[in-house]
Amino acid sequence: MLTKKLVTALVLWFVSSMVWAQLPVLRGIGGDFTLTSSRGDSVSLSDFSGKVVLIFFGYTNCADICPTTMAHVSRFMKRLPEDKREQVQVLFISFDTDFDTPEHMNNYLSFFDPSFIGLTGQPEAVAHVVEQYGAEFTKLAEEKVTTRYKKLSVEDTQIERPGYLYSHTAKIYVIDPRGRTRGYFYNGTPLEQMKADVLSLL
Amino acid sequence: MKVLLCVLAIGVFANPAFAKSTEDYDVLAAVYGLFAQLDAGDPLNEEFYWLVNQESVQHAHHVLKTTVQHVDASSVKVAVSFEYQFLIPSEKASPARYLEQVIVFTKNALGLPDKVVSIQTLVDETDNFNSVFIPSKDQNLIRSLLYDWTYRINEPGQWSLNHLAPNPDTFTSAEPDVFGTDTYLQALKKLNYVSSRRTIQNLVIKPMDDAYLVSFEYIWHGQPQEGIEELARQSQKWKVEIQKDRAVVVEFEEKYLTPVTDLGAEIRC
Repeated sequence: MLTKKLVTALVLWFVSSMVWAQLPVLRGIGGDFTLTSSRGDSVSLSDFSGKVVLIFFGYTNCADICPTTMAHVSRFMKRLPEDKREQVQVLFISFDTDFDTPEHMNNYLSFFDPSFIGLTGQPEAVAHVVEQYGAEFTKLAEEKVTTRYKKLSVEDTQIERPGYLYSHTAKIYVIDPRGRTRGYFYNGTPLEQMKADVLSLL
Repeated sequence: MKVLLCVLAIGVFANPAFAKSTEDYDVLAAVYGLFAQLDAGDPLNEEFYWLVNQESVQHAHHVLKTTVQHVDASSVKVAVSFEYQFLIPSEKASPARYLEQVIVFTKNALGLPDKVVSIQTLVDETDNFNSVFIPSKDQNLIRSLLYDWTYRINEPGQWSLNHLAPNPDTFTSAEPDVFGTDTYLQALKKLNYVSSRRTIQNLVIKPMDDAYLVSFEYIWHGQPQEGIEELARQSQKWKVEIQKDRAVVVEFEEKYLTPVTDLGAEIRC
């Protein structure tokens, strides 16, 4: 009987220590910011205090990692119990300030999950947030290109509005309810692990 | 009972406290400091016999490996393997020697390894080829400084850094409101960590003009008194000068980088 209790206690300690080990507070990166949302208003990270926030830096013209990552996050959101889903906010910050208007981002993100919020702003403001989070983006060439084949939610079906291509960080930043950066996911992180990590923060 | 032992074993080895590096930077500082002294040709002890009556020769001791064997309140026992080179003026190369020694340091009043009290030579082999002489004194002095510094900032309430980086004008910290080594240590102390452990990674010591550019990263685990463990990664860039057989930080710059917690998340599109 005593052995059984000890085993249970040790297993609980082991599991809790593993969760604790996976998500330390990442010091020196992150913090509050304010940008323009895809819904037209100004949004700050602190507006989501009390929620877990997942931040991804990308752009809608991206042909590969951005849509696949957003699709992965969308699948993750569907795995969460409904009451917990409301406590998780996904923010997609676009550094393609030329191309990604709030309306355009709204349409793009609605395809994945209507609760996702896109954020953009003046190039300097976005660059500042990118730096705050230690993310990176680099324009691949000065020539604009069209991604006509990718018509997911792009509203301008009539015009082929070309944009730039970028190389960029592909991390999903995990922010806890107190606004602290706690780790990263990526589009290969198992959904069950994402779920366990996020639930451990709520 | 077997299950119990199994769970205990997995739990202990999976615990992050066991996964972290446990370099003894105070011991490394003492070892590199000692070999910098030997590079200067000071025999210090009869067990450093290869230096005796060799005044006209240049010496270099390249430390290969250090392993702390025993630590208690008054002493530290450390095994060191190193390559000894000497250069006779007018010759370009000379045979080197590979040595393994066990060195015992006593601790001073501050608890830092200090004087050498015992040396045991386990291996002393002469290379059967000649080597080009590579000086090591400056490198050993710089490494001793770096390890001493790292040990000190892990316990910011106890030490001073003034003698290691005397110029506050060229001190750029990643912490807010820092204007030199004093305020730097105060800022670190305010974090109120019950344990703080930095690990040095990617160390590069590059000569430049009359000084050295020392660059490396700290992986820093800190446990606040209350709350969750913190993890940071910092880029460190120092300009170090050798002044009267001492290494001194004359320019200091650090900044936070994103810690690597999952290699998959490091991919770029």
